[in-house]
Amino acid sequence: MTSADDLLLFVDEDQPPSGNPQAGWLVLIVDDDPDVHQATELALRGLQIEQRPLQLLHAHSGAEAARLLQQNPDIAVLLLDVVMESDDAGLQLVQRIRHELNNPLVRIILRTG
Amino acid sequence: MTQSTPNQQQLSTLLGVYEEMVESAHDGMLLVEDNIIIGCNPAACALYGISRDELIGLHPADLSPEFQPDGESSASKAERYMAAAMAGILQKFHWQYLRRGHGEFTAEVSLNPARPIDLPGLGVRPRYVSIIRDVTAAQQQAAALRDSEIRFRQLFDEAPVALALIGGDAVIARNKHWYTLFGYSAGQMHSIEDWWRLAYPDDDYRRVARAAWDASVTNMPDNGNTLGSREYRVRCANGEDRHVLIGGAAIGQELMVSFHDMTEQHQAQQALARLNDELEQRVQARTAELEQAVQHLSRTQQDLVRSEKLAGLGSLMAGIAHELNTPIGNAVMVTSSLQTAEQQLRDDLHNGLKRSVFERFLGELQESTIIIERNLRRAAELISSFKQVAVDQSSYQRRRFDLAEVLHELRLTLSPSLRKAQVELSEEATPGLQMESFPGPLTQVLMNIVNNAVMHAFADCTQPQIHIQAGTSNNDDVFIRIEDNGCGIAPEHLSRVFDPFFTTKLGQGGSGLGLHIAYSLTTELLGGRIDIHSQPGQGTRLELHLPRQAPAGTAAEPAGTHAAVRNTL
Repeated sequence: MTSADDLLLFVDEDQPPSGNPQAGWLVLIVDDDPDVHQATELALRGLQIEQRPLQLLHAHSGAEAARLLQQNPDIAVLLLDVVMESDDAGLQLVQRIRHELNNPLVRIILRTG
Repeated sequence: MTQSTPNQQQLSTLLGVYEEMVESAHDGMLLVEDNIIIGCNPAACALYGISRDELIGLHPADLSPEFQPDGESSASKAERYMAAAMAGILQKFHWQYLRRGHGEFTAEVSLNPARPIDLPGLGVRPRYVSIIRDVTAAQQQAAALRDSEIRFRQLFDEAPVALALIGGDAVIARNKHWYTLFGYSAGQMHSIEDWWRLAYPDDDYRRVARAAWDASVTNMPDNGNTLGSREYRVRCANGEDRHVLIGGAAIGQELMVSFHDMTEQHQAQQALARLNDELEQRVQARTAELEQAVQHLSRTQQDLVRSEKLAGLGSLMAGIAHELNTPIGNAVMVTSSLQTAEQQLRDDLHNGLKRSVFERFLGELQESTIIIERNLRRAAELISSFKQVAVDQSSYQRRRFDLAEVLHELRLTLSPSLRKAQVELSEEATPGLQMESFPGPLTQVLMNIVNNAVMHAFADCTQPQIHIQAGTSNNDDVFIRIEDNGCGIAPEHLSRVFDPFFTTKLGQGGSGLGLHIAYSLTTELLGGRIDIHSQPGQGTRLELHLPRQAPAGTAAEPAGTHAAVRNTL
């Protein structure tokens, strides 16, 4: 049994998994505040969905996000701030994704604050 | 005494005397016997314009027109007179005769029966002497006099002004207009006393009027025999009082008095006076209305200015909310993921904890606390500066402060709108520049100026910039220069930018009060002045010159009730 004065004992480490690690879900964080990126990264660290980890991409403006989306059409999820370089920069990006980049698949989560 | 028959000598002398009398007479004389002229004198020849030879043998009617003025034929009328005369009765009458070549003339005629003469063989022949005096001129004069009298009478009667003729104490005559004006009958007004009694029923007024009248009459000789006109209040027969201007002139021993009715003029004057009164009252009423409207406008303007300031405060609060949202949201997010990690760690501890897991947790914990700390610090800084701005804004607090700090807080306050408009704001202030003034209003002045630039200056600007520079000028006053690289202000607008409600963006969010408030706060409360320099295409530079110490007596007032605003109306 344990008591308050026991030394903390660690159990053995797992063996590192063999073979190629599965490719992660691409998640794009779009925000003009650097702390949002850091906090989000911290919150999502270690999260696995359907046995696949998340791979985070970062953009600090709508324009940068659009560029990254063009380069990486397989981004699964967008965490999108609304107010950045303009009051509706996030909403404009949504419009662009759906109608200009013709990407109906990427899931967009608006963070309206 | 014996009747002696005159001898031839005596008779001849007597005839000479008679002849002389008849021949020299001025009146015409005819001796008529049996209705035939048998003798005449030269005056008769002159009257009829014919010679003695022609005259003798004529019947008197032959010298007359066919009819006399009364319409009777001259022959029959003459017959009657002559018959009477021949019967021995003296006849006197007027008669129309003819003068040859000259027409008719009127004569006063007397037919004087003469001694009948008894001629042998012919019997007694009745005779008379007709004496004829031409009275045409006299008659014409009389007629002219009569006409003149009638004309005068008509003039008097028909004159368009009331007239009365007074002789002594008697009222001799009044004209039609007089009767019309006063309505009294002739029977009521025999003497002047009647007039005074009826027309001036009030004893006191009668005394006054009479004294005035008597004075006028007394003064007449000095006045060219005219009666100085004076206005009297006269009672008419119908009981009405009329204002009458009474004057006159002496005519011989009589006095012609004229009466001008001034009642209508009086009424017109009174109406005019009333109208003037009313006009004055209306002007006063209208002035009061206008004053009220001005006061109302003034209040409305104050309200607008106040609400503009409150709106400024409101947008400030919205900015605060937005600015606080990010750091607090970050802290909340990290805290909640830290909670999850902590729970996971407890589970792991219970089930067997690996060192690597524990170390990873420690790393996350450190990272989390750094993020939380940084974000909460950001929030705290925002809150403290906003708090100061809000207090300054809403209470006009006077205090000692560092100008650089105020500029820093201004930057924080404005950063959301600046970021949105992508305007780069830089500031540069001499460090340690202390002022004792009103930081809230100063911030508001700067905010309004910067917001004005953001709203108007940068429509076609690729790199909008606003630079604020603060320092001291020679006399230790503080200057704050706000420059932008925008489009500048048109010259026709430049002189009006500080006017209340002047805006080029009506209906697009411009109230026209921003720079006006900046101006009034600077010049009144802060005791400084504000200069503006701008040229189209060359940007705009505003310079505030402020005393380090705000003037005493500018009491701190709540936002929007400042005297400067009232004074602008």
